[in-house]
Amino acid sequence: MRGAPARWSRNKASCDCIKSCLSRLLGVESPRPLRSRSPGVSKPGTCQDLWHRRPEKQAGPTGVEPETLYLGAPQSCHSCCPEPAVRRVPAAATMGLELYLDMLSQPCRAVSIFAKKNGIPFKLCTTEVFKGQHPSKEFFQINSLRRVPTLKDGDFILTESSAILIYLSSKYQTADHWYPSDLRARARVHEYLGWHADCIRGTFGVPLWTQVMAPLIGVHVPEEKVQRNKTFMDLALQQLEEKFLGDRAFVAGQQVSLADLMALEELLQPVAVGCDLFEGRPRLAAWRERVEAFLGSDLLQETRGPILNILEQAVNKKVPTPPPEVHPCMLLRISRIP
Amino acid sequence: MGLELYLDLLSQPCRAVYIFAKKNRIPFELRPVNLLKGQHLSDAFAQVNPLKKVPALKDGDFTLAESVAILLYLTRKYKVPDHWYPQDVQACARVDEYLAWQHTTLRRSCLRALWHKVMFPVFLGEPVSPEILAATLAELDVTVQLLEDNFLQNKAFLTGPHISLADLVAITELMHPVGAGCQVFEGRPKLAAWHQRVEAAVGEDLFREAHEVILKAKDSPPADPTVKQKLMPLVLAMIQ
Repeated sequence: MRGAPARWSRNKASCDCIKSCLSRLLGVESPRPLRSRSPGVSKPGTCQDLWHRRPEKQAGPTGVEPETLYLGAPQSCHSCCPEPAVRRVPAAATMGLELYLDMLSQPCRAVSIFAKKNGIPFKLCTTEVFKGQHPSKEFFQINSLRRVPTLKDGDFILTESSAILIYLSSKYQTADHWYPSDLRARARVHEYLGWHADCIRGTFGVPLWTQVMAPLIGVHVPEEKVQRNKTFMDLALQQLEEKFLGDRAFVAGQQVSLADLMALEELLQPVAVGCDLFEGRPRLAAWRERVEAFLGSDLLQETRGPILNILEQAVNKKVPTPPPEVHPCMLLRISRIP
Repeated sequence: MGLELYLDLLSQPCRAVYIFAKKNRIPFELRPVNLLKGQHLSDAFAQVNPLKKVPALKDGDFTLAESVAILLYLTRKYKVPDHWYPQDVQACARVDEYLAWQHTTLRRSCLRALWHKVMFPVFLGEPVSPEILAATLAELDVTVQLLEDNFLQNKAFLTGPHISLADLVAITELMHPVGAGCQVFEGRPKLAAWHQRVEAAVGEDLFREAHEVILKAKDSPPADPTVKQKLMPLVLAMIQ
C-alpha cells in the first residue's frame, strides 16, 4: 500500500489548512460562508480583484461577449492599471443568468459550449484561480468554496456541471436530443453521467496537473503515477468505446446529448497537453469528429483557446505563477493523484 | 419477465435502490449478486452489466447500470411521489446537484473508510498503515462536515422540507462507515436528527432490513485466496 502524504501531520495549523483546502476541493456553494474562511481572498480594490481585471482579448463569434462585471463603485487603487479595467454593464443585465467559469476546466467548457450553442443569454464571469486572479468578494459570497462552474440565476445558485446542464436544458427548453424526454433515452444519459463521475472525471485532468500545474509550483509528479494514470485512461477509453459508444453514433444514443459534451471536453484535456488519446482509436476519433462538426469549429476554438494554449505558454514560461495562497489546495489535489 | 434488480446490499448504491423500490412498492425480482464471492465478475452478469458493477437493472430487454440512472428511471417509470425528484426545475436541480457532488466526495470517503478500516484487514487480510487510515478518516470527517454545512444546513432534509433521492443516497453512503464502526453522527446533532427523520420517512423496518449486511461487515469471513486474487486489483482501482 502506498504511504499517505507526509503532510498529514498532527500540527493543528496545517490540519486546519488542509481541511480548508479539502473543503474547497470537495465542496460546493453555500449561501453563507463556511465557519472557517479560507485564506487567500484578495482585498477588494487590489489589482488582482476580479472585478478590476484588465479585460483579455476574447473573441465572441456567437455574439455573447465575455464581460468583466462591474458591481458597485470602483475602488480607486489602480496605480498600476492606468486605464479603467472594467466595462460598465447596464444594471438590468446584472439580473440575468450568470455563469462563473474557468475555461481551463473541462466541465466549465461543457457548460459554456452548451449555453452558447443553444443561444442561451448569459453573462460570463471568468474565474481563473490558478492564474493568480482571485475571485472577488462577490464571488466568494456566492460560492464560498470557489467551485467552478457555478450558475447564478437571480437568487438561485447552482454548482455541479451536470446539474447546471440539466437545469439549463429544462429552463430554456433546448432541443430534446440534449436531454431526451424518452424514459430509456434519458436513462442512458444518466447512466453515462454516473460512470463519467467515477471513471472520467478526476482521471483525464491528471496530465494537465502533471505537465503544467505541478511544475508551476515546483512539484514533480513521479513517473509511476503518470504511468498509472495512463493505464486508468486506457481502461476508461476502452469502456467508453465498447460499452457507451458501441455501434451508436453518440455516447448515449443516435443523437448528440449532454453526455457527449461532458465526455468530449474531458478527453480534450490530456489532448491539449500532448496526449493523443484518439490515435489508434478510430471509432472514438470518428465520434469526436461527429460531435465537433455538430458543435461548430468557431464555437469550439473560442471556448478552447486557453486550454489549447496552456502547454505552449508553460513551455515559454508565460503562465503566471499561482499565488502562494492557492498552493495548499494545489498540493492537496496533486497528492490525490493515485 | 418483469423488472429485475441485481443487488448486493453490501454496496451503498444498492441499498439506496433497494429501499427506494421497496418504499414505493415497485414490483421487482431481486437478483442477488455476492460481491465478496466475486459473482459480479461472472460472464452471466456481464450480460446484464458489462461494467461488472452493482446495482444493475433489467427491465425486459432493457438493461441499465449506475445507481443514479436506475433511481431516476424508477422514479419516472413508476410515477413515485413528487418529493423524491421534484418537477419544479429549481427543486430538481438541487437534487441533481447533490447527486452529482456525492460521487467523488461522500461516496469516495465512505467507501475508503469501510475498506481501510475493516475490509482490507478483515476480509482481504491486508494490513492498512495507521497513517493511511488516519488520512482516510480525516477526509471522511471533512466530507461529512461539508454535507452538514452545505447541504443540510438548517433544513429538515438535504434539499428542502421533504425527503428526496438525495437523502436516500446520502444516508446509505453514511451507513458504510457506520458499518465499519465510525461514529459519523457523534457530535453532530443536526446530522443525527436528520438521520432519524430519514429513517422514519423510509420506515424503520425497511431501513433495518436494508442495512443488515453492512452492519455485519466486521464479521466477514476472510476471502478465499482465488477470490482475493481476482478482487484485489479491482478493489484497489475502486478506492483510488
